[in-house]
Amino acid sequence: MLKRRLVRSAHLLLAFAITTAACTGVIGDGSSSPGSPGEGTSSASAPIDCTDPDQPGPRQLRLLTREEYAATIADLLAIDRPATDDLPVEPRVAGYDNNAAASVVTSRHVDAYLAVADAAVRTALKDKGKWIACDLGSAACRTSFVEKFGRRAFRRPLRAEEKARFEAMFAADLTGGSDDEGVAAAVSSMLVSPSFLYRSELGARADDGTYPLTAFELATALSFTFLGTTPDDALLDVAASGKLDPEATARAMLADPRSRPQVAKFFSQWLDTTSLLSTNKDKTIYPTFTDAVRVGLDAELRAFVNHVTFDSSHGFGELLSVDYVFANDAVAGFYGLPLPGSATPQKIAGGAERGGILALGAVLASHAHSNESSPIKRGKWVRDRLLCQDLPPPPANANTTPPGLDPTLTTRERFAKHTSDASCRGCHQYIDGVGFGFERYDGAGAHRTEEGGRSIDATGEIRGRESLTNGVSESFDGPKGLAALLAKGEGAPSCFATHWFRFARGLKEDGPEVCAARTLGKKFLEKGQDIRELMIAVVTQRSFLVRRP
Amino acid sequence: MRIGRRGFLASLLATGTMVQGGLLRSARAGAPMRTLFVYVPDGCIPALWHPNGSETSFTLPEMSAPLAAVQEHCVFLKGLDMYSGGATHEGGIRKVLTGVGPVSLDVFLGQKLQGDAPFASVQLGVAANFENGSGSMSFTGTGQEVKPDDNPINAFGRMFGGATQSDDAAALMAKKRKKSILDGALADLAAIRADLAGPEKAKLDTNLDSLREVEKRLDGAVPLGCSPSGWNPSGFSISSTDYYPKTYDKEENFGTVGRLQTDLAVLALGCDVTRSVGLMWSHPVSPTRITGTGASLGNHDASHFGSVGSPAAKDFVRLKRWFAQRFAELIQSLAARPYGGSTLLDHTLVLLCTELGDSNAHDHKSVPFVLAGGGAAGLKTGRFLDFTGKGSGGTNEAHSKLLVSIARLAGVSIDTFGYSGHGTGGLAGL
Repeated sequence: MLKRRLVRSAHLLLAFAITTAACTGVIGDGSSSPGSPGEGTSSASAPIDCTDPDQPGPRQLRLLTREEYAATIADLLAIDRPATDDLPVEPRVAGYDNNAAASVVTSRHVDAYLAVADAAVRTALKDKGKWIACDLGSAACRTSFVEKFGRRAFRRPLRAEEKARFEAMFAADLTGGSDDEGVAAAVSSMLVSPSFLYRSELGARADDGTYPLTAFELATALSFTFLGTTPDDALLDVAASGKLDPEATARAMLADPRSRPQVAKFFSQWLDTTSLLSTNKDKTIYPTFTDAVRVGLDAELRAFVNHVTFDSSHGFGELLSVDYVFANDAVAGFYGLPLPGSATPQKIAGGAERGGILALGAVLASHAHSNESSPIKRGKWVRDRLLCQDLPPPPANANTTPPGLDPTLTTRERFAKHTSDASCRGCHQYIDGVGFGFERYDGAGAHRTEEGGRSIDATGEIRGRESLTNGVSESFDGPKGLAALLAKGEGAPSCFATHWFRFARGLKEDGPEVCAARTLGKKFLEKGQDIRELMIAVVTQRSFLVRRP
Repeated sequence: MRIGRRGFLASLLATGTMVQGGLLRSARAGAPMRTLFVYVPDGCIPALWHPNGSETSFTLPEMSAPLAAVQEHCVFLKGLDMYSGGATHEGGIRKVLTGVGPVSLDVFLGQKLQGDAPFASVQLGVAANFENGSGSMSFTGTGQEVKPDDNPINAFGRMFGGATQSDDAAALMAKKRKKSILDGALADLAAIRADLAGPEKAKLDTNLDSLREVEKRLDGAVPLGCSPSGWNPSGFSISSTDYYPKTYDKEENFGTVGRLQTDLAVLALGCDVTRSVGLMWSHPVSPTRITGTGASLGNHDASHFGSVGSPAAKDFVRLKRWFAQRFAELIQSLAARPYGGSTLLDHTLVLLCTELGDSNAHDHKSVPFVLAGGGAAGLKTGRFLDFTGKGSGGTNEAHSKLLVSIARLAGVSIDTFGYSGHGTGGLAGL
């Protein structure tokens, strides 16, 4: 019996050692969680040499996401965005749907691409004047159509053999003499071709052996990054002229209203609120979390980040600490604030409990269970998304069962019991204290002062805010207290820069890209944490402009 | 010999004849094996799942009891651990069919077994993408996830409702047009690929295979002698106004969609549309609540059962029993379909799998696998095999050996599949 107890303690000690090592060993070295597709799998990678802080990046083919694909087809054919429900969903890597390594074209993709293209062309043929400038009955028109439309679709001029290939689609033995069938075939063929489906970031080989992006690839990357869609003719003309200035173009694009939904999309993926609209919540526990509230919370997030990025200070600090919210009536009612009398988000005073990304209902509802809050999810969210401190998953043998629902205890009290276990503390010392600071918000993100008649304790503790192993522990009260701490340091803004890097580049940084992301972070700090300057800076990096063999 | 689907169906309707699947395929050399991988979420309560008794004389406890109806067709497996790779739900789903290698067995065997079948493999889901933050079970040869299709109407359309095939001139021209559309894409792909190496080239190779598969299907998908009529008898349809969740992801449609996807899996295998199917019921960390089971908790919440006998455990038993019943129905359906002189079940290896062992512990120990069917390949069923402590050094045996065994039974000779830390070869005694 005694022996068994000793063995058990040894197991616990071993587990503690492993988990502590895991929670201090992988932080900040750019490694990723084991086994995730599209990510590296080494957890003990060698230290990265950043002597050259901005080296050429990888050559990539970036498959269009469903949103990019739909926006592009709408632009090309002058129609509404086609439905893409039957295209496979994108694998998400580090929260982003545009990871170049993770997405491939399966046969289900091909079937869906063919079906969407055919339906889209037939819709567009009802109003062909919008996208076909001449009568396709003439050979000259077919030639000019293929040349012009092909350049939009492939985002570069067509080669001679490509022009011939698409013009041949109008042959009578394929169309029975119908120009509509001919154009449908030519366009469908373009829209299922790799030159359309992938954004090429392959570059063209230079004398030094590197692959600088071509002007057309640059135009493409800029347009998709900042506007979420394919470059227009004017931009392709600039690319063709050899006068494309990435920095100036990026700046101009951020002044284009089409950049607003695109920037909001980045924020939604960064904050991991993309499932807000579909997440299950127990209606008996959260009856006020209606569809109107969900939609309103999503709109609030987008209006808020657009306001900060475009209309207000452009500063990262404003994302964290403000005294206002963008609420419509549904959201204001849900938050317990005076109604603004509007169905669209209005800037109103947020009161003591709202304001800033940490207190967004969209964030709080997305990081909770269907029937209760989750200090664990929220704490881990702060570590992953705000501080880029990727904690490993629990070890294989850990008992990760949350404490059962006990009406006599608050959520915090139940979880406090669970994390007093030494084998859990290795990692959870970094998670739970942070998450407890969010306890004044229930599983749907509504404010509360008590749980089951017991008052809420929302004091939190964050260890190792700037560096997991620095041994510094700070206490705070509620999200606003945590936001003030995060605003003081360099960890949160540097991490934000890393997230923008991931989104803009379609990769989870590894090897030289770890250095490039760090360099971007430093630049962000030097530029006063100006969000727009950060967004522009990523396209001025050598890592972006030039690719390695 | 294959003829156009609609053309063939039309001729059947015209003559009032319906030919039973399989009758006309005896000319084909042999009768190839098929594989079907069925995933159910979030592990089990080991004490209430694994059988009690000996290899040939055993009883099924509460959770797996509904499988008693098809016990004679099943091999219950205990003591198989999923070694190496990541932990918890995400690690488990990544390796359950890969053994931590890049490719999953459904995709791998699909390519090996394809022969004349129009689809290498088909991945179906029952709300498997809805709120799925943990991943799917299928992966390409270079390790990218293959997402299952949650929309049974779309999946059916791909396999059985494709382009009109007939001998009239317009149809032939449409086919020729589609071929040149695909040829254009193939030419473009070849030009880009020529300049590439490494992962980007591999990405285009996958794309190439996909284009070729679609092109091959232009010659007709459904083999002669097979009809999908009778599928979707209740006329389930997708409402275009369902924004969230989509109609097929709605909780109240979970059972209906599951039935459709199950029927479709049987049809696809029985009609030789493909020889490998993956079917995912929900996904890891499943939020699904299933009406009619008496359980009030969602699957994942119930799977954190605490202790056997807790209210959560009772709900988890109800949910697992519901999934077990669905699996039993699938087996019965395969067994009822004649094929190759016996039954489709005889010619199909069916694996029931999940991403965890003990869901309370979130571990990968003694994962509750059930292998069914496969009589034509010599699999002896109606057995319970316990590999606890039978691996090297007295550890549990590795589940990757089960993957090897399945491949071998399907006629694909391999020694390892992914993890090989417990040695090579298949499971002894299977």
